[in-house]
Amino acid sequence: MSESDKTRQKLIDSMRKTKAGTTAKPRTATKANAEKAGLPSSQSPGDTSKETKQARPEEKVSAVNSVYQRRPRVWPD
Amino acid sequence: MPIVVLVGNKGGAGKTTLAVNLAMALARRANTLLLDADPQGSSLQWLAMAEGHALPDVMDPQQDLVAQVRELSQRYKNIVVDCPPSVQAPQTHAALQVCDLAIIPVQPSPVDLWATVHIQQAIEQAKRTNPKVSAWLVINQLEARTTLSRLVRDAVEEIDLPVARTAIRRRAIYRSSALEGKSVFDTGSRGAAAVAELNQLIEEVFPS
Repeated sequence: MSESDKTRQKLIDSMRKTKAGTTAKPRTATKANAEKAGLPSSQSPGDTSKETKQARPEEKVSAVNSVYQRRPRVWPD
Repeated sequence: MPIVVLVGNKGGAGKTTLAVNLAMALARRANTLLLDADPQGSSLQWLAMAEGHALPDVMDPQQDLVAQVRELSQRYKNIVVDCPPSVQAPQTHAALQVCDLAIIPVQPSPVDLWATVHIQQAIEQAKRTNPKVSAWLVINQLEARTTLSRLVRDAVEEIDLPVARTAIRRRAIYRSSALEGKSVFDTGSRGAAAVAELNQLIEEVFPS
C-alpha cells in the first residue's frame, strides 16, 4: 500500500470513528498503567510524589478562560 | 429567490469569505441582502471597509431570524445568511428552517472533516420542517499539491451529503480583497481565477 493509500485509509477510518462517536480521550491507558504498577489510580507510574499535586479542574478551567477571554476572539477566515 | 445559508461546525472553514463573495456576485445580478447572523460580525466588518463598489445590503439578525428572513424575502431577490461556526447555534438552526440552499464549506484537513461529520444530522433534522432545503458540501481552500487536498474527495463521501464538483482553491486574493472591503469580483485580473470558480459554483449549486 502506498503512503497516499495509507493516508487515505487513516482519514476515512478517522471519519468513521467520529461518526460512530468512538473518539473518547484515551484516559484508560494511564489508569491501566497505574493499576499494573500497583499504584493508586490517581498516580501514574512515573510519579514519585506521595500525593499527586494537580490543579483542581476548576482552577485549570478558570486559568484557561481568563487567558482566552482577555484576547480578542477572532475566527480565522 | 434563493435564500442561501453558509453553515459549518468549525471556525476558519471560509463561511464568511464565501458568504461575502457570493453575496457580491449575486448583487451584480439582482438586489441581494447579506444577513450576518454570526455574533463575530465578520461579514459586517468586511463590508464596512468597502468604498464605491457594488454591494449587497447588509443587515444584523433580529431575535426571530425565521420571521425576519421570510419578511425580507419579499423585498430581496437573493438573501445570503452567514451563520456562526456551530450547527448547534440557534442562528444556524433558524437559518436552516427557511433556506433553499445550505452551503457547507469544508477545508481539506482532518480536524475540519471531523467537525463536519455530524452536519448531516443537522441537515436531516432541518428537512423535517423545511423539505426544500438543498445542502452541498463545498471543498474550500484547496491546495492542489498537498496529499490531503487530493484525498479530501474520498473523505467527504463519508459525510453522506452531496459534494460540489467545484472546489474553491486557497488563493491570497480572497484574503487580500477583504482588507479593501472588496470581493474577488472587484479585483480585476488578479481575481479572474477566483471569479471563474465562484461563478462555476453558483451555476452548479444554486437553484435555477
